[in-house]
Amino acid sequence: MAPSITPLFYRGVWLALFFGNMNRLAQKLDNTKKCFEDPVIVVGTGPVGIKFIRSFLEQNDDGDVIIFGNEPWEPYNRVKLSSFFAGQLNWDELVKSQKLPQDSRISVHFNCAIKNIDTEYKKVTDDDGNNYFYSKLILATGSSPHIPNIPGIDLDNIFTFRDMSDVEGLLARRTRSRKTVVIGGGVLGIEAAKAMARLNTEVSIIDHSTGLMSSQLDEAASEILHEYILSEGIKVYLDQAVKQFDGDKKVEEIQLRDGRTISCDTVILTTGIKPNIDLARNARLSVGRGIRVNDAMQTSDKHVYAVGECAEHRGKVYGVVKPGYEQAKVAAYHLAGKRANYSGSLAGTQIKVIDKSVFSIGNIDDVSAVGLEKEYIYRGDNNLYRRIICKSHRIVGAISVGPWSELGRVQEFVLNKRFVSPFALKRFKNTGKLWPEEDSGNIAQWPASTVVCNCTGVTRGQLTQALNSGCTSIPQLSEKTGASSVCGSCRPLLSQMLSGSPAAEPAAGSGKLFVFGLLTLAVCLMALLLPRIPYSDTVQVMWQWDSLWRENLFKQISGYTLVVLTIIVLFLSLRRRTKYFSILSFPVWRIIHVIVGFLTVVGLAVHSGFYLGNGLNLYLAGSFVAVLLAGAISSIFVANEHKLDVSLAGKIKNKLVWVHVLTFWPLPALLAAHILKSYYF
Amino acid sequence: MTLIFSIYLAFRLFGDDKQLYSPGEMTHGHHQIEMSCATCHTDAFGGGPVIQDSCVNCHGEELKQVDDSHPKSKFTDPRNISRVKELDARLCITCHTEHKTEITGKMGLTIPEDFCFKCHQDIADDRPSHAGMDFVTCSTSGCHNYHDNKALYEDFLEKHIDEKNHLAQVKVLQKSMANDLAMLEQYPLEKYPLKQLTSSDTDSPIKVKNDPLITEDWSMTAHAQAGVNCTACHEQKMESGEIKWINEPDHNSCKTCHTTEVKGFLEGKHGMRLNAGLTPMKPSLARIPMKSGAHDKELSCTSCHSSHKFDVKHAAVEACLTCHDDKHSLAYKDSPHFLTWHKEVTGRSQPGTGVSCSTCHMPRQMQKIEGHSLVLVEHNQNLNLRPNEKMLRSVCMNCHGLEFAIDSLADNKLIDNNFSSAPGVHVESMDLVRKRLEQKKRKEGDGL
Repeated sequence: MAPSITPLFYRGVWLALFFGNMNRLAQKLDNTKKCFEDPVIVVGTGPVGIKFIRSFLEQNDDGDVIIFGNEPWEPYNRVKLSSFFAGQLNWDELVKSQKLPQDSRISVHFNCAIKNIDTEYKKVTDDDGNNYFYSKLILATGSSPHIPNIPGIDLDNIFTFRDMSDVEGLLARRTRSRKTVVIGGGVLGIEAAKAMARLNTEVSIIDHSTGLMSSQLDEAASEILHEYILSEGIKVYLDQAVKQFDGDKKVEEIQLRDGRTISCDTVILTTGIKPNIDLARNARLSVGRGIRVNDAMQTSDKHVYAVGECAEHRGKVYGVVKPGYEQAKVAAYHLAGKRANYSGSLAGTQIKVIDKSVFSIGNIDDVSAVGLEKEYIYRGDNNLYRRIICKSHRIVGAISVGPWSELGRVQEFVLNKRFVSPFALKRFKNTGKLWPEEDSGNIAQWPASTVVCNCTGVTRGQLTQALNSGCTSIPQLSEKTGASSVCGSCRPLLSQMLSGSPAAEPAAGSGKLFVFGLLTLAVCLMALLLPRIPYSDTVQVMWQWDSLWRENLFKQISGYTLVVLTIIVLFLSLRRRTKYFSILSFPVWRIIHVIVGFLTVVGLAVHSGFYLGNGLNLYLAGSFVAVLLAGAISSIFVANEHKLDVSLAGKIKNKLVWVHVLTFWPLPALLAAHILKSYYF
Repeated sequence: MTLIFSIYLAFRLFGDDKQLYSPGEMTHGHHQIEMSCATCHTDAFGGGPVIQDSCVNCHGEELKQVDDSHPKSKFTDPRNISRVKELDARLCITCHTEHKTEITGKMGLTIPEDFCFKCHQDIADDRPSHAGMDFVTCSTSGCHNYHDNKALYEDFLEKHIDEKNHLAQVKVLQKSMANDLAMLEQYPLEKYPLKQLTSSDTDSPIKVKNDPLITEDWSMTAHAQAGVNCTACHEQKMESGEIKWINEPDHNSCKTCHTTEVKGFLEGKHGMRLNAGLTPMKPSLARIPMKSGAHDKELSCTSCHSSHKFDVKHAAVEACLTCHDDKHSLAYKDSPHFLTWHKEVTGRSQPGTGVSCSTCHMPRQMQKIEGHSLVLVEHNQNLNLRPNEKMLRSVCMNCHGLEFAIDSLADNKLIDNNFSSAPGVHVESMDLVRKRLEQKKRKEGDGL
């Protein structure tokens, strides 16, 4: 055994003995040493591939990684391609979020497609015939546009809308096109249509279903969207199929199944995607619609992983970016020898490229006949439409058209299957809002585990950390965490976080908060419920403990210690309420506060023996116990806050803290009177 | 908010009603005057020395009288400096802290009862007879008293060894004030010469309606016989110098002649509230059982002596029993002591042979006034109340043998039934003395 591993080995043995689990040790050694002798190779420079590399570098301290991409560009954010096409983003902004970290462990091969995989010798071959050996291979090959088999599809000026080359062609075409037809009324189709219509081009959308975005929206929402699209000057042909494209070299006319014809000079196909699985199939990896993977994102060859749109997990292929990110993360964790399981994603869709905000998440199929689900619909002015579908008081799906400030939270509720109260549902029916105004968007009070950025999976906790580390603007936050770097629909939430007060981090010392809260609570209850600590009934003892309460000197020492502790405890308020006092962060002060709070109750026991006395002394002791009780309960609550429903947690916490502060108010006066009294009499 | 509250608290501290600041109930000795903080806390921010002065102010004289066995001087003596570390007995509050109900024991003691151990742990070396005795029993068995050992120390016991239970000679003193008045310089002899007055001699002003019943009552009293006319009590000199008739004279009027009695009354349980500037004591404020019908009576000289009649026989028994409702009081009329009193009151036995309530609790004592010895009633019942050994010399031994008296006082059952049976408890102190005497004799015999 190599000397360098020896300490690790011993630690491992120790751990193994401790947990009685030798397998784990073996696995750990296997993962940490052997697996990265050859580099990890990633095929695909799309957002998911880049995400994997980031996660990989975060999770592993050694091991090289090579990334291959078949596009001639540096990695760009494909998800925002519509925005780029619509002119809302420039190139720099498009590539900014996809910059690879500066790390000597990464080698990059752009415009260099991988042609072959040899799983037996664990090598890949590129366009030029070069071989590269890998220890692990990650396939993030993404997908290609589906090209329907329609006569005339080969004519010129028929474009797909998938990658940068498509956009280049379309950008060139846009200025000349007079009449453009978009085939497919999904998200991408609508975005493309909107982008094409910018220069007074006449744009039509043809879709074979009865509504726009039919897989994400219900009939009512589709209709509203339809109306809106029409008002933007875009024609929509629903329930139509294309029979054939006519034209001489270039497309000139479209024949529909019902015999109508539409003249056009440009056609954009947005008729869905198909995963790129050829490479995998040729390597004899198991494929279905996509490359089949297990919960660790491993393909049928355990050294080959597949992530993103090319992967088929439990029979499901995801066409949006967020599941891909999750998969990339899972794969990176698994490579690092950590336990990681992917159990599928719930897709949420939000389109922003058109000025209308359209949102859809979860199960939005019609309410089943069994009646387990209940739906609630709200219609407001300006075509505002909101519909939520609930199953045993949990939101399982939601659709909305028009702005909805609660979207982030709704999404969070759907993803985490949180409970919604009947009151919330009633409020929704009447006002369209699930939560009262004041806490509807208070993102700072969300649990730390709540995902704020759906695309990148960045949580509120991560954002708070970033805030605490000094980020002061959305770009900084975005750069640090990756949040809002993809679709950007979470920007309002980020700006809310920036403007709000820095949220407390439940993770920071929540253990300590809990333990000391519990201890304080226990001692307080002892003070209230248990018999007083008895005085000694004899002088014939080694240590006369009751001298603590008999002798002036001890009384003064313990008493003034209590005063000092009380003052230290107040630093928390100072830290919170004034900006001039900024030593240590608020969470650190809170931990100090809680620990010192515990010391205070111990001090109280030493000072009084829990003989709470009469009159003023009783009120003072009572005030102390009340403050400490409220504080202890608040502390325990704060430590567990993230486990509770967001709005409820915030409310309860506010009330607890309020009680804590209220019970403190009389204390300074009582304490001062108590000290004054001790000298007065 | 906090500020307003602070102001309120300060207001309560510097105002008259400081109850809020009382850290706990007071002992049975002081509870009556709890609301008069300044009685003990004479100076604000005075601290310990002020309190010590207050203790000595009220109790110092008594301690001196009883020849305190552990006076402050014992501990300020440089040879005993190490003792102070063990127990700082220079200060009263070391052992008697007020406001500490939870640790207040008998005699207002707030330290563990076996405190003698601190200095006397080696007692068995000097006194082998004490080997194995628990230090809690030093005072509880009626052998020792930390302060007042006058009736318990060895020589005294030896002197009264083997006395009979009932002494042949009863030594209750006879009051002598009426006889000795003329000797007192301060007595206003010119205005009220010693001559018997009758109902026709009253000197009340014309505007005051003369009630024949009152005059009748008065004419029967020692006051009338000694020339004490209406104005002697009813006229009072105001601060302005004006002399004014008052309808209901208080103890200040009585004080003119009965200085010592009033002083005793004000120091005792019946008058200490008046002394502290509070409202008069009421039975309802007492901690021992009182008759429910008497709860609102206010205590003054006349509440026992009644105005105008001044019947001392009534004051000695019936007056007490109008209020007191505890076992000991209720059992009195079934007791042998009452029998003797009954006989005396009904004229069947000599004056001074009956035992009334006041015979024991407000005994007659020889007191020096202006250099003359007078036999007066001690109205401060505290002086021989607790611990009850204090009663031995001043009361019990007037009629009973010491050993019998010690045993009786140590028997709680007897206290409850007002000494209606023979003592069921035996205190060993006299036996120890006997043993020692025998040893001495034997030694002397050996020596010979």
